[in-house]
Amino acid sequence: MKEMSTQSFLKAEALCKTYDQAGERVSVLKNINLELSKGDFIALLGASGSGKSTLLHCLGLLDTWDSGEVFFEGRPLSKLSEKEQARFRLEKLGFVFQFHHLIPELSAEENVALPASILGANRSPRARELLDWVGLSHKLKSFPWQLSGGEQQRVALARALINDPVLLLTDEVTGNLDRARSKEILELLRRIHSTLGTTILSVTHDEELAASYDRRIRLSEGQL
Amino acid sequence: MILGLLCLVAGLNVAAALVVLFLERDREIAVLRAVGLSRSQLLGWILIQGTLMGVVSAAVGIALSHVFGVILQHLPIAELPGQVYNLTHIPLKFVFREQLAVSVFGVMAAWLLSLLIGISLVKGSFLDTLRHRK
Repeated sequence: MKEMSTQSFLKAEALCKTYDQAGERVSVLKNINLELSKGDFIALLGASGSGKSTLLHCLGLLDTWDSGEVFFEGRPLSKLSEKEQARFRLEKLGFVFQFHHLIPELSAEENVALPASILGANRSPRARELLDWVGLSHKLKSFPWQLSGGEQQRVALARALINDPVLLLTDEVTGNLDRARSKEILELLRRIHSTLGTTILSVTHDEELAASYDRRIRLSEGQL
Repeated sequence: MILGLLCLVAGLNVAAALVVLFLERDREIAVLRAVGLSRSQLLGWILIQGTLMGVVSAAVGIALSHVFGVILQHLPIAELPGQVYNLTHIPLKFVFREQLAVSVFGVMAAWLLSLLIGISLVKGSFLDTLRHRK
């Protein structure tokens, strides 16, 4: 198990973001201040449209913000070049979307190994190991359309872990699953956190699932 | 004139194939960008794929033109009524320089179109693509 420390390694400071909606500026994130320590296991709660996915996208460098800053291990992320931002997403971060976004033409194993191929590494053995770890060793060669919703999300989780990220961001990963499958995914996240020491921030609107996390943060109308 | 038409047809075929190859794979490209593919890596990949496609298309096109040319000249399936046209076969002549010119034009068109498609793809928001393609 990796050593856990209380060092702050992800921090959002006075983060603001607005969207243009039908010619009108809508404020989605209003002066967000958030601090995550290494080894945190946190649920980010909020109603639909509260800005939780937008916040997650900003923290994961999938989206930009208007003002404020996000720091990773003390380094301001807005100062990174586009290439460095891509490298950050590739090496430090794992992101799981609500709609898994697996590539339909690739098998489960190939989907999992995909981010590693960007690094030029052949990580098929690691991909197989991860799929075994998420309980899908018998589905290595299956295509996404041959998998159930829960299995697709587990493949997406394995893909997010292929480059051993220190931070895992999950966006409503149980949003399309029934209660039993949602609990399986939650248990898997808990296992990732306890075994690999990965810091996890999960967006959810499910209060019952959020109760299982170590800490809960609530976002309402763009404010924490 | 004929060479120009051939180049136009080659260019249009390459354009259609590249549009299908890249623009219909926008979700896959967005996923790759989200997991850490940089803009320059994406552009490089598109240029290599597009140019390679141009080279393969040119080679296959030239090879097929020879095969069909031989068939038309030597097999009776393409015989013409001599009393109408004063010809019994379609007159075909393979000019290496012209074939090379069409091939080079096709590969250059593929490279240029790949560059244009690549620039449009790297400029676009991959997050928007992922939001809209569930």
